Amino acid sequence: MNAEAGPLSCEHLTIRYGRTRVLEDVSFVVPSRCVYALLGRNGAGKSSLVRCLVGQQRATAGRAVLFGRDAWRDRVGLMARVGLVPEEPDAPPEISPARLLAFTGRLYARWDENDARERLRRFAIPMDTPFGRLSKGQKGAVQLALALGHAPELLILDDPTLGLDVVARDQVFGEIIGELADRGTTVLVTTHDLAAIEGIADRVGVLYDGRLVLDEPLEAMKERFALPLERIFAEVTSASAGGAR
Amino acid sequence: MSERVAVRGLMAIAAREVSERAALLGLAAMLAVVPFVAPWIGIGDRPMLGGFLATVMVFTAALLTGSSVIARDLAEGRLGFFLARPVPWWSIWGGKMLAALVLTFAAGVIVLAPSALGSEWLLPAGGWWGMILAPGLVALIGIANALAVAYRARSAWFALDLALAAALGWLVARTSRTLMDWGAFPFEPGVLSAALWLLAAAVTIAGAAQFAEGRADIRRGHRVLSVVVWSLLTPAALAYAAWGVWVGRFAPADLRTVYSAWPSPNGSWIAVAGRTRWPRPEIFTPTVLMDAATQRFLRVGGAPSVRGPVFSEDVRRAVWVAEAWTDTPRLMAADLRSNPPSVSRVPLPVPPGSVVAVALSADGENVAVVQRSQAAVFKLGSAQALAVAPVRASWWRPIVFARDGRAHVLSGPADPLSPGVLDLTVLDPATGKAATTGHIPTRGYAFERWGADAARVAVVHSQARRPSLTLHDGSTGALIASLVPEGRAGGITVTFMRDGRLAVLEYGRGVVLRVFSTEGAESLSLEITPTFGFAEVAEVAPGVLAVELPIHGAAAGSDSVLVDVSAGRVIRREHGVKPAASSWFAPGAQAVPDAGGLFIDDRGALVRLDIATGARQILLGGS
Repeated sequence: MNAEAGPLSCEHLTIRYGRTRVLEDVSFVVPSRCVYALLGRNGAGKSSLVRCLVGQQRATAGRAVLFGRDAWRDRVGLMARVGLVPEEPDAPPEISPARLLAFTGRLYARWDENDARERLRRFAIPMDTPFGRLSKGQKGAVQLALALGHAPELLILDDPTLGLDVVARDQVFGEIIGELADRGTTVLVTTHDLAAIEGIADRVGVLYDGRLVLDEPLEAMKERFALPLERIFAEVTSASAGGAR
Repeated sequence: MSERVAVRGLMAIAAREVSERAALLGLAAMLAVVPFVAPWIGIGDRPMLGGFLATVMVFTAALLTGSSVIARDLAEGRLGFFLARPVPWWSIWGGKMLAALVLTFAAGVIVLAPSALGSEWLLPAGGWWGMILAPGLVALIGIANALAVAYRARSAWFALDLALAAALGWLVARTSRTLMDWGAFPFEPGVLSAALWLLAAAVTIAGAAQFAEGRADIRRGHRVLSVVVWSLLTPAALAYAAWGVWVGRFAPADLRTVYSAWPSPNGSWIAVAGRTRWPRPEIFTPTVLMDAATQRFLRVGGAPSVRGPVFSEDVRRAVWVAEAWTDTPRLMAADLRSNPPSVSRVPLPVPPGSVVAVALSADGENVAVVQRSQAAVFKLGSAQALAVAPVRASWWRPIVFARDGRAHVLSGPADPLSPGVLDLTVLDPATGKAATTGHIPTRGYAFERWGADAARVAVVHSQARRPSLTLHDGSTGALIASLVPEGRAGGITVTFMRDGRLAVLEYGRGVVLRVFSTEGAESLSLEITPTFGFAEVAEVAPGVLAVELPIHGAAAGSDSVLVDVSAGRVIRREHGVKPAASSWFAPGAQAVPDAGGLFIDDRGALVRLDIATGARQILLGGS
């Protein structure tokens, strides 16, 4: 592993769907133990970027590197060290959380089912209700428990609070903060929920029109702009839009 | 990531997929009891209904599972759940495909087992499962997956898929049709099995590549799938088409085993039908016209689809009907004098429908054909019939030309297996008239042999049981003589000799050869052998008959007894050969080559036998 590169980096990542450009030449590094918030509006390409980061989708150009290894080529080895919470809950809908934990555990060499069960208990998830019948917040909580069950070194959350109420959102981020405190896990979170990440993010990147238009430490950015994060985001994206025009 | 975890993952994923679709097995269980509770189903019919329901069930299961285990998860964004785990692609893909296979086969077994075990019905032999069913279902699952991925990807590649599928399908269908026209049915079990395994391998490998290289990106997966599947199937289809062309380009030297051969009158041309060597289809039995003197040849086609060929008296011309059993038969005419000999398609001025017999006039100018409901005579090359007559030809019914150019044919009765009357119809192309000129009563199941110039017709009645033989005038049908009464022989074979005499072989407890004059007077009666069994007779040289002896026990081949009819004595016994001209191919008087009799030896080779010396010359074939 390249210690300077950090556990996650994007190197000139470009994604296109046919003639549609989603991301263009995006590069950034997430340092170890850092919480990196990648901000962008809906359709900014955040989910496509996450799929490339976890080796589920091949970039048109450039590459995603996790722990010094190519995410597409070394997906299997890397996924033992990475936990993912996708934007849309993707667990098999007919399985109950209890069976889901058991099933997922069989796919890992190292799996702490008690820890995962304890998380679900904290979220008050009904263990025998099929996953497809859970509320959106409950599904997110289950996915988070599944993502943390093997104690990952890197946690990637793709808009984890999308569609959640304030209470559920606080629960999710509370869990992430707990994880950070316990294990020092590196976190990449994509979101447009600026208020939620303001308290936990170390570094912020802003995606706009397929490009990374801002990438710097949160505190430095606040100091530079002397504005709340929401205003900074608005300023940066409108400035980029003006530049693009 | 250890192999152990990967395999464990594969099994876990397979178990989950099966569990998710357990309702399919429940449906199978419900279908399994249908043959036992349906009030209109007798005990004896249960296996058939069970087999039908099992077939429907496995096809349904293959389509449902094949189209959903991967494609649905991919389209609904749920494949990421598996790909986010540290298991290799083959573990995920393998688990899902294993589940599809298990569900498909289990559903079939659940439906079929009670019907199969609850009766005396036996399942097909084990080889059938491996040759046809297994690759067929694997291919079906793979095709369902490919179609579902292509459809759900909603990309322009789908149009390309459809275009390529249509093009290759057309190529394969056209090649198969051509092969079938040649009588080379391409779907014999071995070839069908190989094709199914190839298809199964192609769609399975393509599905695996789609998963490995496309992962959660359905459009990329679809592109990979298309590239792989068409990369495999296009060369295979082209190879099949090339093989089909090659199969049709057979030469006499490609004949491995000669089945039958009949010579042209007064010439060296021989029509030969036989089986070809591998890798042509086992069932392929083409016919060729071959000039034994110059080795020139013409391809006629596959024996089962061809009526003829028949020669003109001067051997200037030969004609045959290709695709005779279809509604669109084609009349082919060969110019045997040209160098090289040529074949052309000529008009066949008859209504749509199969052709059961064809004849060529002595001068090679007129053609006569028999169809199910009419006989017609027309000038070769003309699109207008000269004479047409309604007939009832329930099966093969020969038509022959007399020296005066008129065509003679027997037809009827309405039920060919029952007693009735055969109508003798004569068609006169000179006047354009056709008339029923006589009637021949029959005990049913009759077949006829025509003598030279259509002057006489011999009719064997009730071939299958207690046959009898009568000789009639070829123009009026008047009975000339009753040659073999009912009950005397177990079976009868007849052939007219070139001089008009009739050779009759009666077999049953023994084999007796009798020869009758054109007036029905017996001139020779000779016991050939006391052996029981079927026998054939043919004139192999002027005045010389060859009697093919029945085969018994472990004897590998046939022996023939040569009889000098004029001298009334056996010339000798020839071992390991039988006359080449089957009476099936020579409905009229057979041509007799002066250069020596044609025989087929035990190895399937066509040999010319010098009657005087016994010297044998292999003309072609022999495995």
